[in-house]
Amino acid sequence: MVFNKIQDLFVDIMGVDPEEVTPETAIYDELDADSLDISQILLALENHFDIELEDDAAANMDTVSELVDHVQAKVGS
Amino acid sequence: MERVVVTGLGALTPTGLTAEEFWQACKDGRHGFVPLEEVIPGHQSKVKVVAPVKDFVPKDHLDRKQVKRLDRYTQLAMVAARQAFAQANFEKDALKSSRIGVYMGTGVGGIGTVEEEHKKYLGNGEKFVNPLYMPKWLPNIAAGQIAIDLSLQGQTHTTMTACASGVNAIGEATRAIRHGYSQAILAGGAEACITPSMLAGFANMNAHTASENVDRASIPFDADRSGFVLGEGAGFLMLESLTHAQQRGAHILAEVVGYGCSTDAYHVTSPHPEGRGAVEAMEQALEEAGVGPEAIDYINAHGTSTPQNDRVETLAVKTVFGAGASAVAVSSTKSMIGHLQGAAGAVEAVVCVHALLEGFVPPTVGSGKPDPDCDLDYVLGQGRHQDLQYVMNNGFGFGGHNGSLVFKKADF
Repeated sequence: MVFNKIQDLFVDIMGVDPEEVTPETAIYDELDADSLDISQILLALENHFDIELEDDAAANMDTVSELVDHVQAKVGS
Repeated sequence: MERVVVTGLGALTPTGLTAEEFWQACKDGRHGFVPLEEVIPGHQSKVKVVAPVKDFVPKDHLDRKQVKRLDRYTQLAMVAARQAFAQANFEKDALKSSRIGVYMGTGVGGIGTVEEEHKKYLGNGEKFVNPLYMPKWLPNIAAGQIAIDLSLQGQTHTTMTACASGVNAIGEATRAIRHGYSQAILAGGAEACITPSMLAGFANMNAHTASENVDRASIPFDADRSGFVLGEGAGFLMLESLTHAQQRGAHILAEVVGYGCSTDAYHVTSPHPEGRGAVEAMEQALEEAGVGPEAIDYINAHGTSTPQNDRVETLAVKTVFGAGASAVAVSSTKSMIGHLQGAAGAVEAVVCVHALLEGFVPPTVGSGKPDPDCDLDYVLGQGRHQDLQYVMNNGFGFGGHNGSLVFKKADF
């Protein structure tokens, strides 16, 4: 569920195709996301799941699955 | 002082996605008016007819981040600016990018984004407003984005003088080059404001016509005119010092020889009854051009199709041109593309340059019912071939802003 939401957000916010977003996809190196993309995605995740995320939560992440795990942990807690 | 020439043109308008396409439509007398229903389906408004840039598909021109992050006004501006820049054909290494700037006019910037994000704010609260809200809607952002896109590091400015913005941007850019502050400037305007709040504002002040007839909605100088039709689009001119253009062997399309600007200082929306600001702007432009009114062969009028503008502009032309007023061809491009607000003067400048290049006066279409207050030669119905040496372009805006440009046929 969290993955599907994150995939949708990458598609909506960055204009990429859904198949380009897999758990293994590199957020910065492959999707070419920048800080403005990430800030939009994090805010949308906060609103959707009613959670709090640090502004730099994704700064040191590599793949989409790391973001999924991070959000999952917040949602589950 | 440097002479200033035009070396590139770009335009996205309701009748064409390039300056060439747009000019062809102007020559043919084709209009781009459609029912509002085609643009915002189901939207209730007193406004029934508008002039959108129908076939513009952002992803055909822009990368996916630009598609997502740029307001429509910036997207239109960027594509038109690229066209003008490409036509000017700067060689990469000859480009002194630190001295090339961007001056652009817009009436309201990214108003579509403002409306969208404000809805989110009211509906769900602060946290739902897009972090990109500011860099997407700000009226100066298009100039900044164009500079990024084309790597231009000279001065960028945004002129906001409502419907005079495009004329003012080109005029101020001309002065910056004339005085040596820049060697070249992309100058123009862009607007994308066919949005619910804008339609409501223009409708409720009776500036926009309520006509449902696409062929008779924007009818400048016609006795039945009842307001403008809102249009959208962008236009750009690559302006360059003559020295710079000649040094690099550029193809010169026209020369900008005169610019005048003034303020009515009378009323926020109504023109001065005798058009004193408009007269002043036209006289200044002629003075700077170093020619008398008899030298002007064609005036691309502001010609909005509002009862007041067209009457007062006619009167102002008669004041400036005297007995010669009836001999000068006057037409309104807004009869074909509506009122592009902050982009109007810019796309109409594109028309002026094409008119000079081809020796052709584009028509005022749709109009025809005589108004005793509007008795000049408005080139009704069909354009005509005519040798043109000097043409004038007028733009007047809410706030009482007036701008006038004089272009001269290239003789190099």
